[in-house]
Amino acid sequence: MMTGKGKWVAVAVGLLAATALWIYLARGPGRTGLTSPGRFVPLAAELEGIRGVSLYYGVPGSDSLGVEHRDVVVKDRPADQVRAIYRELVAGPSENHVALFPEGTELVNAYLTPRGTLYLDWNRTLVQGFRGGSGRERLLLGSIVRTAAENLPEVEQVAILVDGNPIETIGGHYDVLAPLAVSEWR
Amino acid sequence: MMSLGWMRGSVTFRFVRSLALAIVLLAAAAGAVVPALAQRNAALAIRVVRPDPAPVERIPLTVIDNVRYVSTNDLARVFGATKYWRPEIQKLSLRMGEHTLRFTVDAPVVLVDEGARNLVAPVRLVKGVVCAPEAIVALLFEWGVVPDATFDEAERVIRFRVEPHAVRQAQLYARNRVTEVVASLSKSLPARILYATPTELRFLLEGGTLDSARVFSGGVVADGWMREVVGGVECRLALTEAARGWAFNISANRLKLAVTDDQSLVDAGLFNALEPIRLGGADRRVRTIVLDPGHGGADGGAALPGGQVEKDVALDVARALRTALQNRLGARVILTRESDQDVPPARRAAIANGADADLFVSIHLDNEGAVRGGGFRVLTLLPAPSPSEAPVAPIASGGGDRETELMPWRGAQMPSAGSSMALGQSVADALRRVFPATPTVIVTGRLGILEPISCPAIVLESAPTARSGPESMSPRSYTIFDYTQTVARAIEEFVRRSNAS
Repeated sequence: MMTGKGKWVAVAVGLLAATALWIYLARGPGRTGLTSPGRFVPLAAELEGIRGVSLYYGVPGSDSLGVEHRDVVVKDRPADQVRAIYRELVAGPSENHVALFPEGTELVNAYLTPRGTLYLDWNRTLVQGFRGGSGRERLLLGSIVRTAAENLPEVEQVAILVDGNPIETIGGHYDVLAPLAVSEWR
Repeated sequence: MMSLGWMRGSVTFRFVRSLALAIVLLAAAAGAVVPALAQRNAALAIRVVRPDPAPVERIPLTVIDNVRYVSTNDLARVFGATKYWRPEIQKLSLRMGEHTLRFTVDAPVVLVDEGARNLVAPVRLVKGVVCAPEAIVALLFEWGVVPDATFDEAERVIRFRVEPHAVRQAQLYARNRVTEVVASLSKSLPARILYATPTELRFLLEGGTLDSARVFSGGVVADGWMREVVGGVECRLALTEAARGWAFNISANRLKLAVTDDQSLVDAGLFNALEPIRLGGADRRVRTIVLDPGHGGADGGAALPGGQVEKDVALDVARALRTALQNRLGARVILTRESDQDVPPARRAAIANGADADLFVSIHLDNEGAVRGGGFRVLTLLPAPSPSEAPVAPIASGGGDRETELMPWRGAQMPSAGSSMALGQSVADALRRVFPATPTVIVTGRLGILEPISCPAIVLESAPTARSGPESMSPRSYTIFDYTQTVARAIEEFVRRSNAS
């Protein structure tokens, strides 16, 4: 038969165990998550980081643009950030949006001047692969300009180049010889 | 074999039973309390309020050791920061505009632009996410790292500042024989009267934003609206037949557009006379209309249903419209291309300007967006000079020896931009009347096709929905004949109003 002392020992041990359980649950798994990367993935290079960006794509059956938010890996220099953002944009939408860039389009280079002009130099596929009417062309330009406006506040106008040269138009409707003012594409 | 009776009576059995009972009781208590605690933690959050129409965001807080923590992922998202992570030394940097914050896991400090700041509690790593004490949010504002928002610490709300709208509280007042549209301005804006005809008045406030779209009616204004468009804030007023004159006043903080039905005020020079759009030469006869079937040759344009391409259908539409216009107006109608050939934009402009055209209509087709399955777009040039007219410097070409190509007649459309908008509006109104189930949208923009044209010019875009196709039952359907007859009738009416005076 268990003695009174033994009973109290048992209760004390039980209390200790329950307290330990309580502490574990109350503190949460914070201390045990060191090896679990979750949403935030450590990167190898010091100057690489992750940036949340807003990207604009076409809305099906509409003449308007819709926004998608993504995390992209960016490098430290502004021009590298521009390239990363536009490469993600060209990669296409992940939700119920319409891709606007012709397949095979690549951003060759990007330059941002101190006066706020963003030069985006594309490969020739942007023009040669474009198949669409004025609506698609307008959305494509809107996607390019609004993505710049949303993610790069210092940009005031966007110049479209192909193979390093200014072009008159992408799809035969809109003039892109002069830089596109961000204020006109809000 | 041991009997159960022996087990029940043993000290060990009683000890285990008591222990199990204690664990069960305390676990039950913990089970009741922990979810409640978790729920309380989940309710803890910082609200983020941005200018409309963005929805309110929430930054959830996590309680660790009685300290509330905020995830640096959330901070990066809300403040648009870039995250840099060095796992080998457990350091995270947040680049926020010109400022950099550096956190070290388990250290109760943060480096802000190289200066160490105390956080009281240590930075934690939770499920691979670096979390900082909630106090960091208030401190970010205290340190001036976030210039475009405020933080209400008591309410836990971050409010991003709303830039005041340039045009506010637009109202219409009908007073005796003068009808006024007035609005408050928060800054000086360039204003442009696009056209002021006996039937309609339209102006643009360049670069402005509007607090909310307005609809007007009253006095000599049959109906009208003010709304944000590409390039600024636009106001359009459809006038009654009684309207005679208009006056426009704008200062740094107020605009007033007045329309009167009192001819004596016009005669006295207090109001400008409402006059029709001037078309044609001195005798106001429209002699030449140029129609421009879009694309051609290697440039097929948009791919259309049934394997058709835009360039071919555009030519069909242009030919049909030519016949309709010749029959109605007796004018000479020229096409910029008569067959499937490549015609550069500059050549199209040369044909129109060389022929001294009185009107120019570029014909296009599309089957995407708002016009998919049937619909119309009427496009005109944005009636404001581009803020970026400087020639593009080809800095990306790698050499400075390549000159920017000059466009002939560049900017030639700007003097006619208002007339073009009036023409486009007339055609759009006619299309809406005849095809009420079909969407008709008006678009303005920097249209390369129109920029070099020196007369009133529009782009007409339709979706191909011949009634013989699979969409024959659609209420949006129309034939090329119906479409071109409607456009020709609208142009005829526009020309007639021009000749009326």
